[in-house]
Amino acid sequence: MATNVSRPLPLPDIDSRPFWQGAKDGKLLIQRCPSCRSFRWPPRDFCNVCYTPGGDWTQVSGQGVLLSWTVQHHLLHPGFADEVPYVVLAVALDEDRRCQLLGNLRRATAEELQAGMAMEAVFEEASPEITLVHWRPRRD
Amino acid sequence: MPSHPLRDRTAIVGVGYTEFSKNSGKTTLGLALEACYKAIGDAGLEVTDIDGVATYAVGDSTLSYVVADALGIEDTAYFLDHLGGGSASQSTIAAAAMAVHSGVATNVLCYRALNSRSGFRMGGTGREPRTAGDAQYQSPYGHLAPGQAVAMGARMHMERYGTTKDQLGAVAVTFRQHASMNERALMRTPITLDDYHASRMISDPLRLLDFCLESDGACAFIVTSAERARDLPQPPVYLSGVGYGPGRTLYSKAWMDPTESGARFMAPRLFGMAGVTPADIDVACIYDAFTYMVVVQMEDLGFCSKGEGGPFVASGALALGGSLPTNPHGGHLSEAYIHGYNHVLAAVEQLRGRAGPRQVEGAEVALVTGAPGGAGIALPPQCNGLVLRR
Ligand SMILES: [Zn+2]
Repeated sequence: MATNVSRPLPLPDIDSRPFWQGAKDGKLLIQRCPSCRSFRWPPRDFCNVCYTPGGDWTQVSGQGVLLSWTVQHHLLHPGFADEVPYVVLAVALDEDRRCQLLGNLRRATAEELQAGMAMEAVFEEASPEITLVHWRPRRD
Repeated sequence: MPSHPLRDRTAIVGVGYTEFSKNSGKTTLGLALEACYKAIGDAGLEVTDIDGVATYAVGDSTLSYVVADALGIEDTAYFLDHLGGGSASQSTIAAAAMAVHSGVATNVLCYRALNSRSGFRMGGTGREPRTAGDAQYQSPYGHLAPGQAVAMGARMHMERYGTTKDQLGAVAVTFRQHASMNERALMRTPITLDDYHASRMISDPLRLLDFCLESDGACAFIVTSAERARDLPQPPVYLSGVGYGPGRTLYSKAWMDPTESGARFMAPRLFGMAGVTPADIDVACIYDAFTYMVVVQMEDLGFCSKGEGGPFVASGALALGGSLPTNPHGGHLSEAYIHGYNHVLAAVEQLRGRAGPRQVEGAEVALVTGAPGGAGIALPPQCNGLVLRR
């Protein structure tokens, strides 16, 4: 898929660098608390369940359920001129529904979407450094 | 139960505002000065009486020390530059009340000045989006504006509770009807549900008429003690209750449901401090950056049960003459978008009994809310509100 250099790209930081490196490697990595084992998203330096510092980066299935979505018709940024109308959606991971990731819809249209449907991650290179995580309905 | 120590101990005694427009032709400093001088004059005070200055902004306005200096305030015993829009609006007045009641300051000037149509637009038009911090998980997907976050909350509410687009539209139609009686309002031509459905889709399921206006303008208020208020020319509008509540990121410990808002945490504290229940509210000025925010707040503030917000807002309750006259000025949807402060203005005007054709007869207690907190997906800002009494 063609990428548009003017689209905003993430600025990885110390907390998020392993996540973006994972995406580049085609893996969905999520932090897991070394003490209570709860999953955590977005990256944070402490667990907010048991307050333990640190998180073990753990590969998860890349599967989840669709929480909600919006179809963006109004152009907010020139980088999305070729995309409108586009879907922004939120997926709650199967490993822990508290982990809610945003992304765009791939390989389906908004008309096919239903709340609660099974989704899976799609990795898409956006620049030589950055691979974004998008979502498509699971077909199995 | 003993009365809360802050209840009715401070009051709003002065209001000032500029014209609301799409292009003020002024700087935010110019707007702030006009509204502030008017508020000081309305309160019957002099510049030299003001010893506190509070404001809020999202990087789109003029800081408090600049405004204080330009007004001619020589010494500042209290100041606040709160980061936020709707999340910080009523809470600046709450902070002023606490500063006054604690004795830190005597007369606090609160203002909000913005060119949110001709200058800095909340949707980001004309500037590069943030891509650091939590925005790095949002902006790259074109999730760039508050309306998208709220649209996702609205869709969940519709799926779960059967809330309809007609019900969202009823909010827009009702507030426009109110605005038609308000000379300050930017949108005064009444609309129908058909007009609502015909409006342009922006962030499905939200259409243009689900979105508030973007406007230029300023509002300012003077907060002082209840004792001093009784010696000033305007009828005091007492701060009976001030409330704060949580926001919601993608990472929340206890509260993961976008069909709820921080208002459900705030409401018992706010009403409890004021010593009132929802049934005591004569007029409500509810933060309406989007129609859906009104639906969710009606539920979470306790005006109806969870899931009944849609039928409630479509029942006629919110109209002048209804059981809960709401946004009699037209709200952010139709009067102007001064980030919650024009709602305070509308409430003060009602409690002074000077709202003209849109006056709620005998209004004694008003509720004013800022952003509801959450009520969407990846919409962090927190929640705030006031109960005012004449
Ligand atoms: Zn833990």
